[in-house]
Amino acid sequence: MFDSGTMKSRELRNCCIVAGIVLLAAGVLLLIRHPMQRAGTYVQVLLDGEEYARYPLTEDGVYRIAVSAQEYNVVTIQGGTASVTEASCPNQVCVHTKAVRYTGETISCLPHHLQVRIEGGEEPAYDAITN
Amino acid sequence: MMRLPTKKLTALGLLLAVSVLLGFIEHLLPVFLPVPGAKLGLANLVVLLLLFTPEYKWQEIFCFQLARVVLTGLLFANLFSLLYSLAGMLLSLAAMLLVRKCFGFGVLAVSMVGGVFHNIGQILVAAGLISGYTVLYYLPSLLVFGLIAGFCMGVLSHILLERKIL
Repeated sequence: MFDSGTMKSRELRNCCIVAGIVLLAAGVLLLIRHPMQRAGTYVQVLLDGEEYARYPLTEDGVYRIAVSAQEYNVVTIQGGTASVTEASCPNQVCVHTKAVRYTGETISCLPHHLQVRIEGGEEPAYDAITN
Repeated sequence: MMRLPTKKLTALGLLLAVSVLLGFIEHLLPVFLPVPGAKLGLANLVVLLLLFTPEYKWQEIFCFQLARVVLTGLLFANLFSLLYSLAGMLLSLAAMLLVRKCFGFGVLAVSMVGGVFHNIGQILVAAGLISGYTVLYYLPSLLVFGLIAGFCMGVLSHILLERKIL
């Protein structure tokens, strides 16, 4: 009985340590991420890593991106944010991704090899190492 | 080449079928989280059971995981997802084995570590495939989701282990 009690409290302590470290790491990442956020000026749509189109973030609009004859994604720009509102892909991850507005934020549709990326604004120095 | 006793081989085969099925169920569940790639990790249940059953060695668990990821990837997903799952699996299995063997963590803590490192592995692949910035952007939320998912799976595994189904 005593033994299982100490086992339980040790396990609880381990869980708290793991949760603490992870939450701390997440908090630190959030903090260093925050000052990097700069509202972008345009949306870049990439297909297979190559630029397909770019749209200004300042104008609201709905754009249909034809990935192939049947496959498509719909990019909506509204009030300075961009989101994918419709897609023919099976998993719909891009549609459920929340709208993006800051430079570097990306919505990806892996099945279509499509990326919707916010660009412009002040270019932060670290962006040189991303492609 | 390892030689496995028939009983072990049969058990591993059955468990592989169960974990592929769990992977399929998870594939059917729609994702409504705002973060891409966040999921429950139902198939991790089976691995946790194996990790906490002393008769299974880490080499056997590794082969099991490899077979599971390749099967699930080929059956329900595309090559890209296979790459993501593989990275997540390798890192989370390594981390889980480490904390289990070196720190003597229990199933709950091991499961939480596994969930977190699975997401770290996936995001490392994403960093290579997409861009480094996206990593920094999604990592905090993915870490927390991994923790929560790991906790849920840990509780479930704890219940299953107490019933000694293996």
